Amino acid sequence: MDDATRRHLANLPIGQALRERAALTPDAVFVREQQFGIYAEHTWSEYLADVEAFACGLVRLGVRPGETVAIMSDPSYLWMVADSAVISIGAISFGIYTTCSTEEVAHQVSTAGAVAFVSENQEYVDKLLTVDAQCPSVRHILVDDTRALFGYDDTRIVPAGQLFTPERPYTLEESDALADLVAATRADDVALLVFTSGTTGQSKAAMITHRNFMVGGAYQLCRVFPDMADAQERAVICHLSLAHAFERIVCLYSPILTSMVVHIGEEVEQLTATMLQTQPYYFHAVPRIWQKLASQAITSIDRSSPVKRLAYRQAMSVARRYRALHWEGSRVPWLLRAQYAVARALVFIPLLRKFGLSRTAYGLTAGTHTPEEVQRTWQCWGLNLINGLGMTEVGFVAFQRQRCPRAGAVGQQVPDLQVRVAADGELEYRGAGVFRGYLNQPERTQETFTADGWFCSGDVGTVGTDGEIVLRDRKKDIMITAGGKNITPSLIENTIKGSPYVSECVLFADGHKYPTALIELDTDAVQEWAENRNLAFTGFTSLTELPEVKQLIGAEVDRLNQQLARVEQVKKFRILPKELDPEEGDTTPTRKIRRAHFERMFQHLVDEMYADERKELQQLQ
Amino acid sequence: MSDTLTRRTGTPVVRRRSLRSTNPWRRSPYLRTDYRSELALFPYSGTRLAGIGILAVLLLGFPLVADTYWLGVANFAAIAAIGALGLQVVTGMAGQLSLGHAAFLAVGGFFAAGLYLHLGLPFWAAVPAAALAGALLGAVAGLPALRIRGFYLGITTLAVQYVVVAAGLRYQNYLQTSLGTSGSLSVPAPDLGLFSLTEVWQWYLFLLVVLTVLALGVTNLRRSSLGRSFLAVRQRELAAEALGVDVARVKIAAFALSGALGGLAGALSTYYYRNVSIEDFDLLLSVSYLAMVIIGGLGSVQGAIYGAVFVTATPFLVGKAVEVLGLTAVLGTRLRAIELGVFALTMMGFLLFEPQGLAGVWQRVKAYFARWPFKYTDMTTSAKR
Repeated sequence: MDDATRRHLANLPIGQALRERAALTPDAVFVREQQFGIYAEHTWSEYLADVEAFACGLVRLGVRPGETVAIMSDPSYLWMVADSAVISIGAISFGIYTTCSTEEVAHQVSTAGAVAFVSENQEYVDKLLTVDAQCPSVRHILVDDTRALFGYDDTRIVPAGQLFTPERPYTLEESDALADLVAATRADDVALLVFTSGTTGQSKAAMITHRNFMVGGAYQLCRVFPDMADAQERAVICHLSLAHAFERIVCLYSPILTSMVVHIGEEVEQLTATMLQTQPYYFHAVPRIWQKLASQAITSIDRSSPVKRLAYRQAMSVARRYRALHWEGSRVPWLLRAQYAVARALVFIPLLRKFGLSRTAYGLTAGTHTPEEVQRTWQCWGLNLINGLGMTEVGFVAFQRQRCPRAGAVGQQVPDLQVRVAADGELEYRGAGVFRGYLNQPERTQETFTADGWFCSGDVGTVGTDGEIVLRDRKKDIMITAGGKNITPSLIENTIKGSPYVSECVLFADGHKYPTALIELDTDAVQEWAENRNLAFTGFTSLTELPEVKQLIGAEVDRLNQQLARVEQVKKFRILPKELDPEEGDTTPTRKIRRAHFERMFQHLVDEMYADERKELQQLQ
Repeated sequence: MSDTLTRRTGTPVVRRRSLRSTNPWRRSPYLRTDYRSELALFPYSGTRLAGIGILAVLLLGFPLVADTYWLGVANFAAIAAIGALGLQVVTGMAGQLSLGHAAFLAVGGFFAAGLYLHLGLPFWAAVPAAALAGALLGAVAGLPALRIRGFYLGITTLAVQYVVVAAGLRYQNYLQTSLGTSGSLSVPAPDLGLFSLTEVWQWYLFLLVVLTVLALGVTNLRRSSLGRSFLAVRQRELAAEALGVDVARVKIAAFALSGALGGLAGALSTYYYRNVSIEDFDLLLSVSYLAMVIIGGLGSVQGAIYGAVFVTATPFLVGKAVEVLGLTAVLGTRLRAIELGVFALTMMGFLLFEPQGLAGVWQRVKAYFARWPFKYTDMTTSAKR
């Protein structure tokens, strides 16, 4: 497929692009989905046939262009088919995170006014039915796995399989009507909704057009990574929620323009098994997953025999020297290069192979800030882990381009996006990817656009001459200490998250004398560490209370503090007594901290850390 | 477009295996798109094929470098390995203690010789018949296993051993009294039509082929429904029965298979020595077969072979060592005692320190490198072995 074809496809409405792609390579595999241990293959033509059947079914059920359909499921073939079917008839699809609380489900379904609800199984049907009264718009509930649905007499429930094999076959008139609907869609119509994560307040529904994600997302990916589109099959894994803009662009729309083959594992929880089985060419994940995998590897090596530990330490010291020179851009002496090659062959390639990443050309981390230490570690291991920046409202913004680039930066802007810096340092974007606005919230929409139509990102940063974007922080997130120092919390939090034993870190500094932090343990890593030392504990809470664990975290914080300026150093910390859980509202479904809720919940811990400050104040009074 | 639709609407989501394939070398070897590849006896080729290739070259090159003496040792080991595979099936896989394995070998050996003596049956007919006879005796010997287990079963199999030895003695006496010198239980060199087995290297290649076929067969058996029933019965009879395994049938089948392989080994050894005598099948032989499967690793097909090689070769190696060290003059008379001593010590050592046998050691070495640079974790459960 040449660039002209890709550009042509990208500018079509998704339903039409899908058809043209299926006509180009009808027998190429598009999706492999693992079912009962083996990967069922679906070619483009099979996929299109399924999409058309599903679309006919939707039309028969009475779903009309412009109406919305909710999909609540882990990534699956049905998710993809349902989404493509909804979009191709001109209706609007949106995904709901499977970890959403029932209130959130009610909020999203009612905001979007969904007429149909596609559910993976009975669990999500239950979530919807408990808030049924708040969602009067739902006329149909399509369920993929109906095994647990005995005893449900709701007439709206339809097994999704019935849309593929209807009792009464679809007639020629129906398929003609479908063809007309597909032809009637326009690239600038709203195709889908993506709910923002809602770290502050209720989540908003961003209206995304066909062109937004096809040109602003998928096409930019092809332009930045041209080898994704050559004739070779390029394996990717679909493991993040498809409700997320990132996963949608990568796994649903980018394959239309590239030779990517989407792999879906048996269960999203078994990601490492899926990675090992599929050995992706391109692996994208949120920083948390990269961090978790790296910390698993490091703790596993810590527990291994002295020989293995020694080999790893030696290899790592070589790798650090090698990468340091590489990042500086200076020439690496041939001896060091040879040493690094040996280290790779003996230690790092076997290590990456355990994760199925030994043949991975690109690891992409995006979604939120990546702790620099995590990115550096993976690069030392020889994985080309690059940082990307994207926004639901803009599509892709920037990618790092070089091999194993310097950690921390977000890279150069994508070709078809204009970026400018406002007077207050805020980054503003304009381009094909910029969205239409928030559904039913014209005033919020207006706030996010400047008078001349640029999108205000809320990120503070700079743009270099070569298009290199450097992010400082979220506009609203900067903290000012009692001493008047401006502190960037995400920077400090990410530094602390560089420890393999820390999975989440929340900083407090606003109006206080010094920064403090609440730290969530990385359960697996710390548990292994404790078991290794024969420490007795009964559960997560008892683990957090072990004095040895407190010492361990203390040592880690001290070590990482060295990387920070004096005023930024975390002076005190407390370990959270529970694991954060999106279903209890601690975090958003994408595991971003809901700060307000968080502060309320752990107020006593924060107060405890600032007890001396309060005492001082009392003495003054 | 509507044309595509009318042709293809109504296809289910889960569907047939596709016929197209991508370049297999670029693709992950663990990416299985059908159950056939998942069940493959030797999955994910690559390094494995290379390993098999190297092994084949070593085995086929052995006769070129080894002298007749060591080639003979290899032949003893191969015959013992076939017998040990039989014991592995019943004791290692099905978990039924069998202390009378020599009985099956004896029956096989005597059948082969007897059939030649009385009916003039040639090698290619007598050997399968001997295996069949072994299987029949196995099925009978297995009957007590339906009621008793553990050491008590061991005692009944021991009884089978003594019954067979007693019967063999009477048969030998009968031959001597009725036929005199012409009643000797010797057989000619086997003639296989295309070639006859007279030279040691010919035997070596023949036994290598037989052993390979049998080892592959038993490996395949392990993943068959019968093989898995064996493992289930070994793990817990009651649970196996609850899963629908016909325990009685499975036990008899295990004993019959064990008997067949034992009979085969017996017949082969008769033809290899060109003679058979009941004195060779004493209790010590049964015990050394048990030693083979324990040293090799209970339940493992490779283990049976390692164990057979180890147990067969050790006395020869001890003898050679004494010779090389120039101690023949001092220890020459006590060689047998030393051999037995070494044998006893290694046996105790394995039982104490390495209950999973040589196969377990090999698995661990493999796992050490497979897990590199991560911590070694024992990923084989006892049920999987």
